[in-house]
Amino acid sequence: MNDAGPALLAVRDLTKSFPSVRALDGVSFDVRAGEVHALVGENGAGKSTLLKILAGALAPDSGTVALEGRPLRGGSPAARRRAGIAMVYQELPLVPEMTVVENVLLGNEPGGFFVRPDLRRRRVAELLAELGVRLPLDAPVRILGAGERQLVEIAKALAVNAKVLLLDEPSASLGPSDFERLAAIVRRLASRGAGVVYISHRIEEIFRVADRVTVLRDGRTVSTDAAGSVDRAIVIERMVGRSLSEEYPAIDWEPGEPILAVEGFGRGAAFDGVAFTMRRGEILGVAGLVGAGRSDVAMALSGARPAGRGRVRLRGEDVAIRSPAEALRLGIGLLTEDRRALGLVPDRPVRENATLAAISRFSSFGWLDLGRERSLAKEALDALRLRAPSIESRVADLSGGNQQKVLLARLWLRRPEVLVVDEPTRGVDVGARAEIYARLVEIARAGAAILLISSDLPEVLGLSHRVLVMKRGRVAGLLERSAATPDAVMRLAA
Amino acid sequence: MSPQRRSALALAGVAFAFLATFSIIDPAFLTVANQRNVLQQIGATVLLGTGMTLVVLTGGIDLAVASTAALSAVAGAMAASAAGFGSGALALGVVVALATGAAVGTVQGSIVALAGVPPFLVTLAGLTVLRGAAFLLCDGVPVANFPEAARGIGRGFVLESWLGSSIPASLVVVVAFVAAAEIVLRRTAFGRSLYAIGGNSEAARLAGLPVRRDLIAAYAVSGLAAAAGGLLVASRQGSADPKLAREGLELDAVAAVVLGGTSLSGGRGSAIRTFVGAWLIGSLRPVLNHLGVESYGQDVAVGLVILAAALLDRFMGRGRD
Repeated sequence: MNDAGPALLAVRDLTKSFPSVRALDGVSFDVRAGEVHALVGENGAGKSTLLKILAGALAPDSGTVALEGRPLRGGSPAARRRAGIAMVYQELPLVPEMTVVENVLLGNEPGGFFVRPDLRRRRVAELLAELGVRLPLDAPVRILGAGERQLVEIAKALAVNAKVLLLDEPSASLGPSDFERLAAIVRRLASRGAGVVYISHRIEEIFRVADRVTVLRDGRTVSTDAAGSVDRAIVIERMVGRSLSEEYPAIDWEPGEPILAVEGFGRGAAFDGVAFTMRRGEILGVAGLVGAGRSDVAMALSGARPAGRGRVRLRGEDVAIRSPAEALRLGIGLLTEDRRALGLVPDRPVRENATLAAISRFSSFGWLDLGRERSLAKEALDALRLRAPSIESRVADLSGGNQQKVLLARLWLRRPEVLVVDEPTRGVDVGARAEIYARLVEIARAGAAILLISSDLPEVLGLSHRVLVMKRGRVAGLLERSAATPDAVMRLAA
Repeated sequence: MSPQRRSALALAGVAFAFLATFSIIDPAFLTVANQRNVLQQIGATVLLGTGMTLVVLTGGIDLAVASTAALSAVAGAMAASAAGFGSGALALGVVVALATGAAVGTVQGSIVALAGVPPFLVTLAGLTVLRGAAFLLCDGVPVANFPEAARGIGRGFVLESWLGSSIPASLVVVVAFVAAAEIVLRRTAFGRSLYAIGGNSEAARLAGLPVRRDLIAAYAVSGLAAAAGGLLVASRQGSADPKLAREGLELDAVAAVVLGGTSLSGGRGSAIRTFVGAWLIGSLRPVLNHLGVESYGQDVAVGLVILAAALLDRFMGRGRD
């Protein structure tokens, strides 16, 4: 907020090269005490590398990072934390079986050698009070939702009295109301004098939380502006180096006859009494807060975690979906929300990852026809404009957006009639998003039904024929495209 | 350069460095006679290691291979002996041995795949149970007095008249087995599935792969390969002894797998790599002998080489992520 504040963190002319790519090519910006400084850029723009350098996990080739005027040299992530720069990771490295208290204080126990339960509880309670949130202190972290885990992660950064907080995609797994809470906390941290570096792919968010915005492209800083002096379109244009005319393709066709009907669908306490129908060629959006049970429905419908109750009618016949293999045989496939844990086989090439669910299309009696596999993979990946050095590259070396394209190719190569896509653009940059949207729309237009689950509300509204809103494991309402406004959805969801 | 290729080059580099060093230390090292000897010696390690490679690719391990080899060899020899050691009886013995190994592997694989017990525990139990079972089966008395025909594979040579110098019959079997395994890994849906399971088993399951079936099959193949290794040793020794391969052959097999660069966490590696790994270990000992290093010193050296290979793979084979 204080425009002329001195630089808390000063980054000057950072460069960093890897064997095959120049990741940073002269990055400079300042973070002032008391400001939220957003850092935006497409995947591959150099944000991750920059963050790793700031957090002490990588050393730059040249350039300097100074905290309160003192240059920081070398050092490990632990040393950087002690110096006052704390990173809140995108992938939330918490220990699931440990309690909230234990996780917050991990690596930073108060007292001496022996654990002091009273001291620890009090300390964590104070930290959470500072954040203005309540969490069950003695609950194992594994039972918390994504939004709550995020808070634990932030409390962990506070526990070291961080002067600079690096937030990497903190909202990636949050729904709208969780985001509001996060935004309030971020603002609060800044008002207490911390400098917050905030990275997100969701441009709308930037304008809600940030004081200034720095745009990175191809490893360089393109611009730094006060958030009030630029708008969404300008930021996107600077990120991609071109203007994106149409964000969402037109949804201008009518769906065909019903293909799937679900009634009384439920599993445990996760969701119950869920009912909906899908038609051929229809994109049915599913909106709701995190924890509303949307992904649980996706997992049940695709056999990943089968439902315990209810009836599924596919093409007019009752079916039982007990495993992913069975769902795929019936023509129902899943694009998972958790790319790393449930989707990618990281060490294997792009080609094998793309064809993993469709091996029968290029094999007979178990023998693989590698030539046919290559052409199938190429065709599917070209349709998504995959950008990779080669289809033989290790899939782990691709950017998030390109990895997501590989998984969408995997799903579509199987030719399912019902696609369950869960958070298809999470952690995906603007350019790749457009390509994924275009492909999903083509697939639906060709007659497949798509269940589109997303925490990105504009995405759900922009792509769906109808929007199903879930709340606490139940269907809260169903909105036709014309009636599906952000307000209407939020009234049902909250 | 892809990490796979970097890792393959690292292995080739190590192998070449060994080759050069060994040749300098021991001028006889690269002679046909010496190599024939080495390749004959490592036959059982390669067979056990190749089977184990399939299991390790899924992220598991099979510590029971040496015990499986002993039990299968004893079972096969007893069957052949009971049938009178004729040529039909020998065929029966081979079938019984291989079936025993495959059955043992299937049981272990089922416990891993269906009950979710960690492979280390299942096969550690297997290691003791199967060794004990081998002793119980024959009352601790080795089945000896193999007829000459039964000793052919272990000791015999082929193509004697063609090449002037001859090829050990065991080498033919071993190479055929490794080649078959490599083809299965590269060119079949089953092989593809093993890599996927080891790389990310949940992703494999969600992609609709028959994860449980293929896991069980991997352990079954490992059991089968162990049985083949047991037959090879028994054939060479001319008897099936329940103490067969009791000097840590399972660890030699693990060492060959690891030295070849197959990742113990699964998803990366190949059968040929295991062959190269076994060859490196098998070559090292005679060379150390030549240098006058006694057997404990050799153990130290072999262990250090394995550690060095693991470190090299760690730093050469990994891309940045």
